[in-house]
Parts: sequence; C-alpha cells; structure tokens
Amino acid sequence: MSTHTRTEVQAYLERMRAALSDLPAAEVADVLDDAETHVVEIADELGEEFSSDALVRRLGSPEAYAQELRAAAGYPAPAAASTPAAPRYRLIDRLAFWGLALGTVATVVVAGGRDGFVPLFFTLLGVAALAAAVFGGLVSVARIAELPEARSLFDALERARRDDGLGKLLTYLKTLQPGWWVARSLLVLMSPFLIGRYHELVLFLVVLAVLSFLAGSRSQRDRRWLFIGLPANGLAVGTVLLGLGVVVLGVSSNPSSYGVSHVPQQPSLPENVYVFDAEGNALTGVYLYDQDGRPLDSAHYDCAGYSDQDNRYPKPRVDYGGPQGCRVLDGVPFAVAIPTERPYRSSSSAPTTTVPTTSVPTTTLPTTTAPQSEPSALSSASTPPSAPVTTG
Amino acid sequence: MDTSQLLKGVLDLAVLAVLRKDDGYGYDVLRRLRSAGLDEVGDASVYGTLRRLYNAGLLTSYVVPSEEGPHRKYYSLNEPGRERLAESGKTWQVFAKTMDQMLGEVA
Repeated sequence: MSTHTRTEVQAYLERMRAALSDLPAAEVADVLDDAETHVVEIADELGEEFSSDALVRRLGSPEAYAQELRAAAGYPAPAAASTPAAPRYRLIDRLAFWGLALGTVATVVVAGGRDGFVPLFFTLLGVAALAAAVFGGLVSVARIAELPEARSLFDALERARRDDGLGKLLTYLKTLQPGWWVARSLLVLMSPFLIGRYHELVLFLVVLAVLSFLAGSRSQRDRRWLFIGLPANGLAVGTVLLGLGVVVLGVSSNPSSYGVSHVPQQPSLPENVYVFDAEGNALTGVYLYDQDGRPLDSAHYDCAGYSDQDNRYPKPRVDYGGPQGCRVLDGVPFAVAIPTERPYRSSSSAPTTTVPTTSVPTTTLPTTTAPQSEPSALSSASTPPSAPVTTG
Repeated sequence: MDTSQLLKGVLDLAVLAVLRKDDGYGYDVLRRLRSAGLDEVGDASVYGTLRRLYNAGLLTSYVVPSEEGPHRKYYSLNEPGRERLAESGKTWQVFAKTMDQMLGEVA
C-alpha cells in the first residue's frame, strides 16, 4: 500500500472516529480496529484504482459508514449537539485527579517506608486538603470524570471488566470488598502503632479510619468518597508492607521495640556469679557458656559507670560507698561450705561433661588464636581460654 | 420486495450462522455472507452487527497479528452465542415454514 493510500485510509478512519466520538473510547477503539482492517482490505482490492472517491463509492462516506454501523450495532443516536463541546473540566479538576493519584501512591510510600514523621504528616495533610476541596465543592467529580485521562482510565477498567479472565477476577475481588473495608479501617488505625513514633497522628488516623469505613459502600454511589477511600487504601497497603517488613525481616527503624527478634536473646543472669569447686575453694576467672556455646555475657562497671560486656566471672564489684569514694573490688565476698553428699549419680562423670564445654570457646571466641580444628588445643582443658579482652 | 428490509431482521442470525464452523474477522464474515447469497448486505451493517453481538456477550474476540497491514480481530461464537443460534434458528425455521405454507397456495 502506497503512502498516499495510507494517508487517505487514515483520513477516512479519522472522519469515522469523529462521527463516533460520542461513544465510549474503548468501543470506538474496537470499532476502528475492525474498520481499519476493512478499509485496508478494500484499498488493497482497489489496488491501482484506489482514490478517496473510489473508497467512498465502495463504502459510502465515513459519516454514512458510521451511521449505518451505529444503527446495526444498536448504539444510541449521536447527541444533538454533535459538535464537540468545549471541555468542561478546568485546571483545578486536573490537579485534583493527579493529586489523588499521587496522594494514593505517596501514602503507600510514606506509610510503608521509614522516611519519618514530616513526609507522612505532609502527605496526610495534602490528602486531607484534597478531600476537603472535593467535599467543599471546589472541585467537581463530574468534571474530573470528563478529563481525557480519567475517561481512558474508566475505559481501561471497562475493558478489563469485559475481558474473560480479568473480568472474573474483578468480580471475585468485588465480593471481597466489604471485608477489605473493615480491614482497611483497622489497618489505618494500626498504622500509628506500627509506625511507632507518630502518636501525634492518632486522632487524625482514628477519624480517617471511621471515614474510610464509610467510604467503602458510599464511594460506589458518590465518587467524592474515592478521595478518602483511595488514600486510605494507600495507607493500609503501606501499613501492611511495613508490618511485613517488621515481622518477616525483623528490621525496623526502632529496633528496641520491634526489631528484637533477630538479636540473640540472652538468658537473664543475676548481677554476679560466684563459682566454687568441690572443696569449697572460690574459682575466679571462670568463663560461662550456655548450652549452645554462646558466652553468657553480662555487664560489669567501673567507677566511672562505664560498662563492659564479657562472660568472665565473677565480675569485679564496685563499691560506691567506701571511705575513699568509689572502689573496684576483686575477689569473693563470702565463703561457702559444700555439702559432702554429691547430688549427682557419678562424681567421675562431672569432669568429662565439662570438657566439651571448655572446647566451645575456641570455636566461638574470635580472639582465640588456636585454630579451631586443632585437637591439642582442646585437650588442654585445664588451661583457661584466653579472655575476650578486645572490648576494652 | 426489498431484500434489505428482510435482512435487517435476520442479519444477527446470518452472522451467527456463518461463524458457527469457523472464527472470522469482519471482512471474512462479510465475504461469507456475500458468497452465501446475501449480496445486498451492507458492509457497515455487518461490522455493526458483529459489535452488537459481541457487546451482547454472544461472541468473543481475539486479535491475530497480520504480516502485512493491520492486525485482524477475529470473532468466534461462544456458548451463549451457540445457544442463541440454535434458538433463533428454530424460530426462523418455524417462521419460514409458516410463510412457505402460506405462499405455497399463491405461488
């Protein structure tokens, strides 16, 4: 097909499009899909004899074609004022449409992200201002619906609804909607707690939770409620994302309250531990480990109040009330009498059970110099492991 | 009598009938109708009828890319379409028989 023919075909189709312009955009697109194949087919048949006149002789004028098609397809007659009216929407309507889109995305980001209070606050403020403008009558949803971008969005939704698979999915999702409205309100309510620090917003979010619940069924009849429902969707989705982030990844901006799951929990120890052998002799410089070979670290303090963590016991005591002021005391402040009857079945088994535990520090202490696979280092059970002194 | 007047009432049925065996794009359907003897059928009427049947949920459509020229939108009869064809076909046959009997005396 020559360029000339192509141009004529396009011109024919454009005139048809204009004659059908009152129909939904998706329908016009479908009709013109068919019409294009049709006109191209005719143009190919005409071949050398093609001209726009020949085309019109064969198919009628584009307007007549559109008219006949309209009658056969059962479309309504064109609106009386067929000349395209001046756009009824204004700049502010367009701003509101894009503001809603942007606001919805932004709520997901600020509620799901960790950007802090200020972005969240201003996003919610913007969303609230937009909703106020819509409900205050400053912006009309009817005019927003006239926006070309809004119309193509509606048409896309309509197409999806008519699509076999997607349509079924959408119908199914629709049945879940009431449940989502309840969940959305709860998620909006939960968001300040998940977000943690923003208790200033609780009142605002309580109001939003109530409004978003109302918005559920109302937004189907009154599109103004979308200006509450959609940002609430965003906030809820963001909250879910944040919640998943906390629970699954165990990361949070506030690890002291939420992110603890990934920190190995230490069993709580008494303030100090004193160890005695069977003869009642106090042992010092003892290293304690739990059943997994993890050092039982606890803090010890010096006079400046500076704390340090290790698993060497007993800890030095700090005596703040001495006559020379604060002193750090080593040693054991008491003596014990060990009962002569052994509470355990076999006395010989005791040392053998302690041997493996002494081997554990060589595998876990990073300061240990001996290679962990060397058995000779493990056999010298009487040698205390080198103290983890690196934390000084 | 002008055939185009008669055609209006049965174009739906005719289009469903030519799609019964094979799917077709608009121009296919038009050619099949013409070759079956419906010379007077208008191009745009056939395309409009396809759209109406599609919008009524009696046809499904799918697009087949074409090497030369624009891609082709094929229409195919779905289950409701087949049911409608059977139903309308029966109605037509009863109607046609009635007309035949009536005209048998005249002709």
